[in-house]
Order: sequence, then C-alpha cells, then structure tokens
Amino acid sequence: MIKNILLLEDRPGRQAQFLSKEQIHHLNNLDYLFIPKELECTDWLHDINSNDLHNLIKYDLVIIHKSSLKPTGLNNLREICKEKKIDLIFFSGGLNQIVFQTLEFQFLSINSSVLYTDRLIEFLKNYAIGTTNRLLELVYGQQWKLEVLLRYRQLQTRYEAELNDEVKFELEDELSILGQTVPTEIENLENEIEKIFVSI
Amino acid sequence: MNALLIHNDNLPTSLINSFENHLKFDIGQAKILEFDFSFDKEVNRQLDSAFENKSYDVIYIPYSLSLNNYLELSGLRLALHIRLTESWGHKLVPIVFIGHETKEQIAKLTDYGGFLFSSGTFSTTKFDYVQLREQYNWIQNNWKRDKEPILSISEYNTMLSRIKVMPSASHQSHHSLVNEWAMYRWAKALGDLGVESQELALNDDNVSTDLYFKYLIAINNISPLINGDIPKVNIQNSGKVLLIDDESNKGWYEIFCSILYDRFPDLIEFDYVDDHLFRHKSQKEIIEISKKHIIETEELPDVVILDLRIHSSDYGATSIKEITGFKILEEIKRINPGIQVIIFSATNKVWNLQALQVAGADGFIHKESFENSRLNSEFTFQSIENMLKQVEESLSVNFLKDISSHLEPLLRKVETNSNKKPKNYKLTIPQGKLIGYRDYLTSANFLLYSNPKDLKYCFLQLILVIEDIVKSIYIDSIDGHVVQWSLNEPVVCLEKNDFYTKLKLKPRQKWNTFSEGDYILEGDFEKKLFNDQVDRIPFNYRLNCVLYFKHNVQLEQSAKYSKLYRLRSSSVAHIGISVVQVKDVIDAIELLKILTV
Repeated sequence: MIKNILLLEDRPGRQAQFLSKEQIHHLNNLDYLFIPKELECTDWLHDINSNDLHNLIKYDLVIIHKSSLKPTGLNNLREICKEKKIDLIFFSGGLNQIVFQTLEFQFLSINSSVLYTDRLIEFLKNYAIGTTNRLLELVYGQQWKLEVLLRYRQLQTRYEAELNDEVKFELEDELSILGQTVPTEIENLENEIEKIFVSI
Repeated sequence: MNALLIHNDNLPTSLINSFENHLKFDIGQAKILEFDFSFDKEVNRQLDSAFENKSYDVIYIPYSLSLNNYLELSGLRLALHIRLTESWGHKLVPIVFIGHETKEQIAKLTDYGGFLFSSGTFSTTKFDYVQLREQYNWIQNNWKRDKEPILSISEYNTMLSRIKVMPSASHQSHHSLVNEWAMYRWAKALGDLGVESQELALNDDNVSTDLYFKYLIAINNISPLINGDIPKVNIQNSGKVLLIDDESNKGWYEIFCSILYDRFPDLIEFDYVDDHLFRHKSQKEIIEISKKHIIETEELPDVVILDLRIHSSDYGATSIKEITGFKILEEIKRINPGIQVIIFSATNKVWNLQALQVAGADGFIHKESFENSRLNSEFTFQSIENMLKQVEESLSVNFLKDISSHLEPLLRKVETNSNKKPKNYKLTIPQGKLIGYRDYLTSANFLLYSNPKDLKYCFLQLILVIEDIVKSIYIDSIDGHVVQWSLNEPVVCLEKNDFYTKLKLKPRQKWNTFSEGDYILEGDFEKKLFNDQVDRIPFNYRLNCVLYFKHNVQLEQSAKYSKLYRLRSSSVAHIGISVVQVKDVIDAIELLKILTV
C-alpha cells in the first residue's frame, strides 16, 4: 500500500533556493506527496495550532517547517504523532545539528539545506512505496547502513561489558532487532565497516 | 582521576560508573519538539552547570551521544563548544574521544576533521576504565614534558585556524549574522537590555550559545563587552522617527526605544513598521506596506532609520538598485525629499554608499560586523553615539520636510509645464521664461539640501525668479506703468501728476470687489523714490500691483510678501550672517505658486 506524505512549507521561495525548477516541478507532481500551497498551507498550519488534526492523521509522514508552528501547535503535533505513530520530520534554517529519535515515534530534526537535496525525491519515493521507512536515509542515503553497523558495534561493546543480566537481556533484544536490518553485514561486522569507510 | 566523562548511557555501564565525575547528556524527544530548541542551547544549558566551579584535567566524550543515530557525531560538536566557550574555563583542557573508529574514519564523516587532528585532542578505542586511566596518566605526565598538560595559547590559535565551523542555513547570509551580532552588542552596551526585553533575551541566547557565533568570537579574538556609559549625546530637537527593518520585532525596535524614546520622551516620537507584515510578501508588497505606513500616519516622519536588505531576493541582488531598502529610500524621497533617511545596514561597499547618497540618503550607520568588533573594541559605543548624533542632526533640519512639501509641487508644476507642447501650455507667464525659471528653482532645491543650515542661498534663487516674473508683468508702456493683466489687456496701475503719485485701482468688477478709486501710497520714503522710470519703482510696490491686478490678491493679504524683498535687500544679498527663516522660504515658495498660475 502506498504511504501518504504531507509537506508543509510556508516559504515556497526556500525550495527554489535549494532545488532546480525541474526538481520542484517533479516534487509538485508526486501522487503520494501533498504540498498545500499559500492560503491552503496557512489553513493547515492554523488547524495544527488549533488542534484540528483530523486531516493530518491520513498521512504516514509529515514534513513541516518547524518555525511555522506556534508552541501549542508543536505540542499538538507531538501528541498526534505519538498517538498515531506518524513519522515526523522538522526542518528549519536555524537547526544546526541533525537530531533523530525514536522513543515516542520516528522523529528527525534537520536543517532546511539537509531536506532539500538531490536525495529528497528518491527518499520520498522509497518511503511511499515501502522500500524504506528509515528517515535517516533522507540524510545519509546509502550510508544508512554504516550508521546501523556503527551503532550495532557500539551496542555490542556495551553488551559484552554489561554485568547486569536484566540490562544485558535488553541489549540483546536491541541487538537482535537492529541486526535484522543488516543481517548479512553483521556476520562480518568489522570488515563491512572497514569496506564502507574505504569506499567513502 | 580528575576527569569528566560526558555520555548518554551509550557506553558500558561499568565504565560510566567508574568515573567519579560523569554527565549524562540526554535530550528528550519532548525537548526537541519545543519551540525554541536548539542543540547548541541544550549543550550550553547542560554544560553551564557541569563546569560551574569545577576544574577537570581531561574530558572524555564518545564521538556520538545519540542512541538512535551514530552518525550524528554530536560528541564532536559538544567538544567544540568546550574549546570555544571561554566562560567554562576548559577551552585548553585535553579532550579524549571514545569510539571504535579511528580519527581518520571519523574525519571522513564530518566537517570537524581539522579539530580531530589538532593538538590536545586525543582518541581511544578502549572502553575499559583501567586503560583510560593509563591514557589519562600519560597525558598528565608525558604529553607535555616540563609543561602544564594543557594547550598552549599558540596551539590553541593553531587549532582555531584549522577548524571549520559552518553557519546554519539561517546564518548563511552575512546580513542575518551581522544583524544578530550588532543587536547583541548594542543591547549589551546599553546595559544588558536582554534582561528587560524578551526579544533581546532570545537574541542574546542565540548569539551566546550558537557554536558558529562562538567560533567567530574566538577567531576574531573579541572580548566580551563591558557595560559602558551610554553615549552622552544630547538630543535637543524634537520630531518623529520611524524604523523600517525586517528585524524590528527581533530587538531593534526595543533598542531604538531605549536610546531614543526612553531617554527623550518629550522630544522623540518613535514608530516602526511592523515587520510581521513583511512575512511572505513580495518585494513590491513590502515597499507598498512601508509607503502606506509613511503616508497614512497622521504626520510624515522627520527621520527614517532604514535597513537595506528586507526581502529574501535582496541576498541575490547584483545591484544596490534592486535592493528593497534602496527602493524604499527612493519612494520616501518621492513622498517628500525633506524626510531625512539614515541607512542602517551592514553594507560597506563604497559603490553602494555612493549610490545611496545619490538616491538621497542623508546618513549612514554601519551595523557592527565581527571585523568591526575585532579592529575596534569601542566600535559598539561609537556606533550608538554616531546614530544618536545622526538622529539629532537629522532632526535639526526637520524643517526641510515642510519646505519640501511646498517646493516639490512647485517644481513639479514648473517641470511639467516646461515640457508641454506650446499649444497645450496654459500658464500666463511665457513658456520660454518658465524654462529658465525651472533651472533657478532646481538650483534652489539643490542649495536647500546641500546647505540646509543656511537658507539664504536657496532663498536668493527663489527671489531671483520672483523678481523676474514681477519685472516681466509690471512693465513700462507708452501709456504709463501697467500690469500686463493679459497679453492684450494691460492695466494702468500708476499715475503721476504734479502733486502726487497714485496707485490706480480700478479693478474689473468681475474678479475683484475692491472699491473703486485711487489709492495713494502711504509713507514718505516710498513716495520719494517714485519717478517715471519703471526700474526705480520700489519692488514691493510693483509686486503688490501684480498681485492685486493680475492675481486678485488683496493688498492686506499680499503685505506679508513685502517683507521678503526687504529681507533680500537688507541682509541676504550681502556677505554676513543670514536671517532667513524657514517661514521666509515657505512664503517665497507660496508667492511663486501664485505668480506662476
């Protein structure tokens, strides 16, 4: 089933700053992506600020300019994403560090320049058709595997040094889940990591 | 060991617990979703308290502090904060990065490679406390033989020259960066205005916590600004000051309120164009909003403090003439060239300043850049002082606005009629003459602005035109002295017999109700000068005749214009102190408006 994506951009000029005309045209014509324009976008933002979220829950992924929302809107968005497990991407010119969290729901916070890149359309396509649900692919592209492998290695180190059985079991679970995303590569972890680093 | 471990529960528990001093750097999801969240602010919030009254010999940090994204490499950014934050007192302390990766590998994933290989930055692939302690001992005892195991100043400066910190997208324009920096410095210089103003507090927070600002402060070796005395510029003239800046609401409004309105409430009326109205608007709309604000406010401003880059398109502009502020300047000068415009911008390009001056800018105050702060530690105080002086200077010539509101319509009328085809020309003075007058009036306009403190040069130009018009209309004819009421209908206005000279007042009933009869000039002085040579007839007498016969101005009403010529003869045309007042110039312009009908 195709996933639906909502992109709320209150400053269309910003897209032109980072993307070519062809890319913007392409973006505007993706079936699974809805980009409300001008007044319609303002209405969407108003609805989120007013906690009128019935339209929002149709979407699997919401990409939104963080500064366009009021503090109450941000809170409303958090609650609905938590409840409905909607993936969320914030972008803004002032965000100076990529932050990714999965505690309550998948949430990525990035600078506008990281959102509007050549990778965006490919990522949206892959996300919509279900090839990926990893938001980090938007940021790292094919290097997402390296991220998983490095995290896996770190977890493994913690696991091996852990003395508390309960914590050890938890870490084991985490390792198992993470390992399923790259089952082949973790068999030869160090070599795989080295291989990727050499290729960069 | 006297070391601090910063982690996020992403290292072995045994290692964390072995450290006597450890800080869990955790950012909850709720925190990130907060309106004003930034990673740099969070670093400052957590490390401010971690370093308070503490002194560590070594700091340990894993490359990544995230449980969900190893490639965030947030440990690197956090470490750079430690290097660049003077107030934490640990900028020279050795930092050890913990991770399986080599420095070379990490350098492939980040812009901070230069930092990784700088002096005082170490790495370890060990996760065992005993091994870390061995490294600690080595750093303490062997890294620098016979010297304190911290970075030397020269090593620190080398590190600064090698690291690369990139601005966030919102700071990629020089303009936004300078704006925040200048606002920060002005607010500090004025006694920490951030304490009272929410907007300035936010800006203060942004500047003092943002890594890029810290980097710029460090590489420019800028010392914190010590609250100084507010420049003692005394404003004596009153008037209305308007601010047009796309960052007014971010703090400039508060700052200008503080230095202008709060200090001179009885003299300064301060207003601003709400830049929220500029949001998502085109350049054209922004110009219209500004123009509308100026025109529709009860009274035109005397002084406008104008930013240049107001619309996003201004950042890509290739010519100053495409920039929103420049276009607003042109509009203001079209509305009334007497409105004084002080450009308040970061631009320092000579060709821009020249173009602005040609377009009518009356003053220029440079928004403080990092380079300014580096080269001159007094720059902030000097800028504030210059701004106050500039406002005072502008207010001292606020009469230009009044004069302009009279002179401009006259100039436009003369200009328009000079260019008309003769068949469409309708003024009663010959068009050939009018073309000559146009040059005199343009010259008067030029002299008004080039030397507003002495109005006599402008005044003289106006009087020259008045004299010439009167001389053309009041003529000596075969039948006596006449006013050329129209080309074919001269009106005799002076008769002379053996006993007296009299002004003949027999106006046409249809346009004047003045009672018929002779009007004998009063005063021996003027009578004495009369003779039959038209050039010797006193100018004011001729002027009254022209006003009366040709323009239907009652003698009582025209009396105020008589003093103009007296002023011209008594002092203005002579070297010395001029006594020309604003009102005299305005009266002269009014008179010209009547004479050029």
